[in-house]
Order: sequence, then structure tokens, then C-alpha cells
Amino acid sequence: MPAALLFALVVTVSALRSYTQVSENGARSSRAIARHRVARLETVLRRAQEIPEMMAIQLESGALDTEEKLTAYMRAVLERNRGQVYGSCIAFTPSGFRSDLNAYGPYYYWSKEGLQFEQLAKPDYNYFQWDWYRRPRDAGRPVWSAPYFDEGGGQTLMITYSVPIWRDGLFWAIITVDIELAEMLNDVGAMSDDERETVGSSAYAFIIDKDGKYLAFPQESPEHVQEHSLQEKNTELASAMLSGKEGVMRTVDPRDGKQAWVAYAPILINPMSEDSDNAPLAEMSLAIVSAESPALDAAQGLFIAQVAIGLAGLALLFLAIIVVARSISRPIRELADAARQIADGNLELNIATGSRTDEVQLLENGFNKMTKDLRMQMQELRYTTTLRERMEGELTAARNIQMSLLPKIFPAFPDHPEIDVHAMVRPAREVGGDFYDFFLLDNERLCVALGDVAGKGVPAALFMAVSKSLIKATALAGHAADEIVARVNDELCEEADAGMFVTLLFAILNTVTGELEYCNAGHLSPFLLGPGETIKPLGGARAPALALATGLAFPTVRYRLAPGDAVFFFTDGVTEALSPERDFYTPERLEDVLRVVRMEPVGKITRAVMNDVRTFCAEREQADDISVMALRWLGAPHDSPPESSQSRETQPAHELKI
Amino acid sequence: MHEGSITIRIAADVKEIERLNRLVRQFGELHDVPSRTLYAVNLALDELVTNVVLYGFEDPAGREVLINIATAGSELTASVADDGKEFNPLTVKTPDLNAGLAERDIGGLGIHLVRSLMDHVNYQREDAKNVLTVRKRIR
Amino acid sequence: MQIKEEKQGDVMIVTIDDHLDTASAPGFETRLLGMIDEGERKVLIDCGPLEYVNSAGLKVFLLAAKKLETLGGQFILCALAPSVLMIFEMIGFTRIMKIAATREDAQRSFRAA
Repeated sequence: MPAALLFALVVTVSALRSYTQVSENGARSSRAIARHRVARLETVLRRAQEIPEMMAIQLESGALDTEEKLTAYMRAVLERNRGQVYGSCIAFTPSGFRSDLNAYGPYYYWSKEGLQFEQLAKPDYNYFQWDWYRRPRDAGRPVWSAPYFDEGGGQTLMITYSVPIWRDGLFWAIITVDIELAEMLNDVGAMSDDERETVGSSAYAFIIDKDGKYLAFPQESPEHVQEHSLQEKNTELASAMLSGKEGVMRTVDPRDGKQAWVAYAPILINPMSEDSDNAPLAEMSLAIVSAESPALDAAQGLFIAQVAIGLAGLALLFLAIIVVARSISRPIRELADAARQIADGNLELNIATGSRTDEVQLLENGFNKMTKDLRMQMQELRYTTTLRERMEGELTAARNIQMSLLPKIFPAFPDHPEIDVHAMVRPAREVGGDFYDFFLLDNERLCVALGDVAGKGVPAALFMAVSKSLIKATALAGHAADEIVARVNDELCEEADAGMFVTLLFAILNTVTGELEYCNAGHLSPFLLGPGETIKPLGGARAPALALATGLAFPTVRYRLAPGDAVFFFTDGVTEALSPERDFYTPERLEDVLRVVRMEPVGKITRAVMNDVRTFCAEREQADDISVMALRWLGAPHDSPPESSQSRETQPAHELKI
Repeated sequence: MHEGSITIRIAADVKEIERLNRLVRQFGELHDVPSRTLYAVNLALDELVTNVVLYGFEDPAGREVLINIATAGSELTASVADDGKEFNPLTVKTPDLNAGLAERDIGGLGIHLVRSLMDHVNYQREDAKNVLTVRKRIR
Repeated sequence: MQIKEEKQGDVMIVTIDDHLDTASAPGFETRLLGMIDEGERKVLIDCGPLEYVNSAGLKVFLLAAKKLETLGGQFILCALAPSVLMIFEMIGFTRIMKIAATREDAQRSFRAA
């Protein structure tokens, strides 16, 4: 529908444009003709102007100072310009020509009998009052008169050109020439063949004066013409013409009242005199009336033809659209419906529109394939999402289980004031493999362990749980330290996947003697916070990590602690922590911290190290589990235990080897 | 403030002084030393140790400076010991605080700070070592 | 040490880091005395971030102040923390150097002089 409207609009606009084009051309041509005629008239009139101007020069030169010379000159002029100039007169100001003559106005004119003379200065003809005298004198320049019918002299339609002259700066006389208009105007009505092609065979011309009175009208005699004015039949045209403008308008034909094209142009525009601001500017105006205009008629015909063709085309187009649309729109509607259903979630939908159009078929196939793909994708997505959620849930569960496995109650052994243990794990984001454990084997022996399972994620966590349980179980079974580690190793080998292993610090402290038997299975040496200001790693007893190979030996080392000594266990999450500048924490820095807090309670020691690592790492994310454990032996139970922070008694430390 | 002491060994290297500052701060925080006091002690030790490291040895490589800090009662005591050239920093001329900008000497600022920041400053030469001890009362 | 340099009109404003000590003083000295050699005559040191300064750093301030005085320039420090101001008092710098509370106060001093 919108297409049709648009089309109609386009056709109309184009037709209108061509119509206006043609009619404008026609109008322009009519105007040209009018202007041409006016120009012809004006040429004649202009030639007439030169005569009084020439006479003025003569008079001003002073050569015509007697009546005889003056009248002889005038006769000569009239003779010379017979046919154009009807008459001429020179009217002087009072006492202008001769001081004794109040008025002097010689006037010569042509009549059937030849050149006639008249003296205008008659008692009953006071020429000083007449327009032809007054107007040019007041205006100070030559003026054309309005056309008039001269009853006195020529009995014909005339127009007078009056030229004022001065002598010694004072107004002196008026020279007039009368031009006969009638003959000229009679030609006006006739159109030439060329002109008729533009303006039509029934075209005619007329002239009006500044009051709108006809001066020339076809088939009207000059006397009768002036009795009528244009305003009687067409005021619109009259005011347009009298305003001194030229133009073309479609208006009432003053002759028969029908619509016609009128082209008009002004004749002789007098410059406005001071005393007549409202007077029409044109003395005369010419109009060419053409009831019909072949050019414009052609334009109209063209316009109609264009519109007709356009409408016909439109109708055809419309028809075509309807036919095509019908064959397409239905399947498209079906597809649209289907799309909506799929968006709502119905992925089982399949389309079959039964349309035989190629495009629609393609669309159908594409659509069906798309829904199939979409279905598969959705299924996959659901699957992986569920899987991920399950995994994350499992990981969280695993972490929780893991942390819950580690002993967290402190003080761990309130009934055993001779020992003080504290441990913490700060797990990394992913489930790691760090663990620790401490438990009493019997009333005199404390077992501690700190381990690190290689790898991350659920497998490491599972392995960690297994390792920890295995160690406790094996230890509680009553074996010796090295035996415990060896057995655990063999068991773990069975459980481990390729590449999995556990590093372990394992120690048994005799709470009576202070003897520490320890084994280091692939792990970092713990620090001894010893007597005086000793801080040193507990070396020796290095063995491979667990779960690498069966049947390996794990030798232990014994070290006699002095009361108040502490041992600090840690995983590589401490020493390998990275700062934002990618610097390692290093064992040296750990040593520095331990140096500061070495006399503090074990809980303070572990926390101080953790805090320092956190300060060191700043905003960098923790990559690995960080585990720390501090164990202090405060001396044999029966000794009065010195305050941990004031331990100053030292006993020589022995290093016993097995 | 509670009692405690720490002995810190650093290599004769200006880069070690940052480590010293950290340890001093950690020690102070651990033993509840008031921050004003800690700031003053830290700066004083910085000046003393820097002096030793920069001027105390012909060849600083492999040499060490021993710093000891102890809190007891309401007093903090710190000492800086080195086995370098015999030198008493207290003999350095005090800067003239009344001098105008143009006349002011560049030297002596460090020692002057130590003297102003600490309550007691004491130098001893024992066992071929320079030992400078400073004490500050906690108020 | 990171220092920030900004020019406001004909005043060079240098904002220093939190630690001005034996390690960072030499670099600071080179830069500060260097910019005076390059023609800066109005230098403002914004000590807002400064928490710790030792004699090595203080020496650089003294050198810069002396240099600018001989060249007919102006040297002002602003936004000193109380602990740092105390140090300045102790060594008598407050008598020989211009210390302003804020940048605006310093700018006014520059214009008035």
C-alpha cells in the first residue's frame, strides 16, 4: 500500500513539473511578445522626443530671437517630420518672449489642408493652467502627457511630449510636440503569424491609459474606445497593468468574460513628479490576450497523459504486488510464527510451508537447520553447566572436608603443659594438598607431621586425606618412626597415580627427655629456634618424597631440644610466595621474622610468619597453600616449667645419630 | 611494652638497611613499642649503621654489622657493633644551627639526628670493635 | 624512588615518594639538582606522601636549597608530615628553608617574593 501511494505521488509531481515548465515557457513567450510590441511603440515615441529637445537647443542658443525666425524654424521642423509629428507649439512664460507680451504661444499643426498656425495665447485659452504647460514646468523635466482625444485640432487620439527650457537659470518656455497615436495603436490589434503560434489565432492586444481607459481596442474606433475602461470588466488586470509592472496572468478576458491568458507590459514610464505620489506610473499599458495557448494546451495534454499513464502503471503494479505477495506472505507469516515459538522454547518445531518458491524453500531449510543446531547447543550447554556446578560444588565440599580433617583446636593439649603446638593452613584458591597433624602416641610421645601433596585440585585433595589418615593409623599401630614412614610410603605408592607424590616432615617428640626424632621426606628443613639466639635449619635425615617408589628407606635423626626450644615447620608455600614484583619470600626473610618472634608463644610465631607473608605478597594472588606449624618443648613435666618468654636456661644440645 | 631482645646481623651493604628497618619495625610492633619511639629508634639506627657501612670499612665485602635491640622496663636500648676502622662518630662536629643557608655545612646531619632523637648515646671501643649504644626512655 | 614532576606556570612541583633514604637519595639528588641546572628557579617539593627521611635525603634538600639561593631562585617544601617536620626542626632546617603547609600557600609565597 505505501508503495502505491509513493508511486502516485511521484507521478503527480513529475506531471505537475512538466506542466508548469511548459506553461512557464508559454507565459514567457507571451510576455516577450507584449514587450516587443511595447518596444516598437516606444521607439516611435522616443524618436518624437528628439524633436522638441532639438528645438530646445536652438531656442536656448538665442538664435530664434524674432517672431519671424521662430515661426520659420517651427514650420521647418514640422515639414521635416510630417507623418510623425502632428503639431508643435512653444509656449513662453509671461513676458518671456517679449516683455510686452504677457503670453506668446505659436502653434503649428497639420490638417487635411496642410500646415496650420494658431496662436495659443488667446484671451479664452489660458495655457498657463494646462497640464502640458504646468507639469513639465513643475517637474523641471520633459513629460509625456496622457493620451487624449484632441477635438480642437486633430480630432484624433494624441499624445504630447512637453519639454521645459530655461534662460539664465529661470524657467522660460515649454516646447511641445503632439504625436498622433491612433494609427500606431490601430496596428496593435493585429498579431503576426509567428506571434499567433505562441499566443493562438484568436489572440488580440489592447492598450489602456493611466486611468484604465482604453486607448486602443480591436475593431473599436478611437472615439468610442475611450468611453470604456478596463476596470469595468477586470479590475484585477487593470490594477496590475496600471502599477507599471509587466507580467502574465490567467484572468477574465475583458471582451467575452471567459478565462484567458493575459500578458501585459507598461508603455512610457514617467518618473514620478513631486505632486502626484499616488499617480499610476505608466502613461499607458499594453496587454495581449490569448484565450487559448497551443503551448499551454499542449502542456495540459501532457499533464493529463502522464497522470493517466502513471495511474495505469500503478494499477498494474498493484496487481502484480498482490499476486506475488500472496504467494510469499503466507509462508513468511508461518515462519514468523514459528520463530516466535522457538524463542519461547519449543525447539522441536519443524517447518513445512508447501511453498514452491525457491527463496522460500531456502528459507525453510535454513530455518530448520538453525533450530536443530540450537537444540544441540542448548543440550550441551545444560550439560556443561550442570557439570561445572557440580564440580564447583564438589570442590567446595572437598575443601571443607579437607579443612575439617585438620586439627584446629588450640591449645591442643591443655593437659600437657610441657608441649605447645600451633598450626595453620591458608589454602590457595584451588584445593591444594597441604596438611598437618599432631597427636599423642602415648603419654610421653607426641607425633607431628606436616606434608605437601604435589598437584592441585580434587586428586591432590583426595591424596592428602589418604596420606594423613594413613600416617596416623600407621603411627598409632606402634611402629618406630622410620618404619612408620616406610610403610606409609609403600601404601601410598599403591594409591598414587603417575606423577603424584607427597613431601613430608615427620617427627616424634619425647615430652620427657625433649628428644626429637624426625625424618625429612623430600621436604624443606624446619627451623630450630634454639638456645641463645640460635635460629638454624634442622638438617640431616633427608629422604625422598613419598609415593614415588616402594621399598625405600627413610632414616631419621635425633635432636635433643633444650627446654624452651621451638621447632618451626612450613611448606614451600611460605618460601616460594611471590611479591607483586615477582620476588620470592626466601628462607632468609622467614629467618628474620623468626628471629623477631622466637621467644613468643607458638601461636604468635605462626601468625607472625603468616602475616609477614601476607604483607610481602600484598595484592598478588596466593598461588599455593601456605602451611606453618610451631612446636615448643617447655621441659620435662616434673620440672617447674620456665615461662616460655623468659626461657634462658640452656642445656648443651646433642645431636645423636642412629 | 614488654621485654624482648633481638640480635640482627647484616652484611655491610646499604641494601641491607631496608631489611634492618623492617626487622626493627617488626620487633617494635611485637613488643608494643610506641610508634614515636620506634620511629626515632629506627631512624637513629639507620643513621648509625649507614655510617658504618659507608665509611667503616676499607673493603665492605664480606663484613658484617651487628645490631642488638632490647626492651626492658621502660627503656629501649640498641647497639651497633662493627669490627671496622676505629671511629667515634660522636667526635664529628655538630652542625651550626644558627648558620644561614649559604654557610650551612652538609656534614654532621646524621650524628646530630642520633643525638637529638636518643636520650643517651655512648661510644666504646671493645675487643677491636666499635660499639655505639643508644638508649631511649619510653614516655 | 618515584618522583612526579609537574610545571604550574614557572613553578616546578616535585612530588616525592614515601621513603627518602640512603638508597633513593642519590637518584633524587641527580634529578633535583639536574632540573635546577636545566633552568628551574622556582622549585616546590610536595612532601605529602613522605613518611620517612634520613640524613641522606635531608642532604639533598640542603644542596638544592643552597644552589637555588646562589642562583636567585626559590625553594619551598610543603605538606610535611608531623614526624618529618620534627626531624626538620631537630636539624634546624626550619630556620633556613621555607616550609609551607599546602601547595596553595607555597604558590602564594612564590608570587609574593
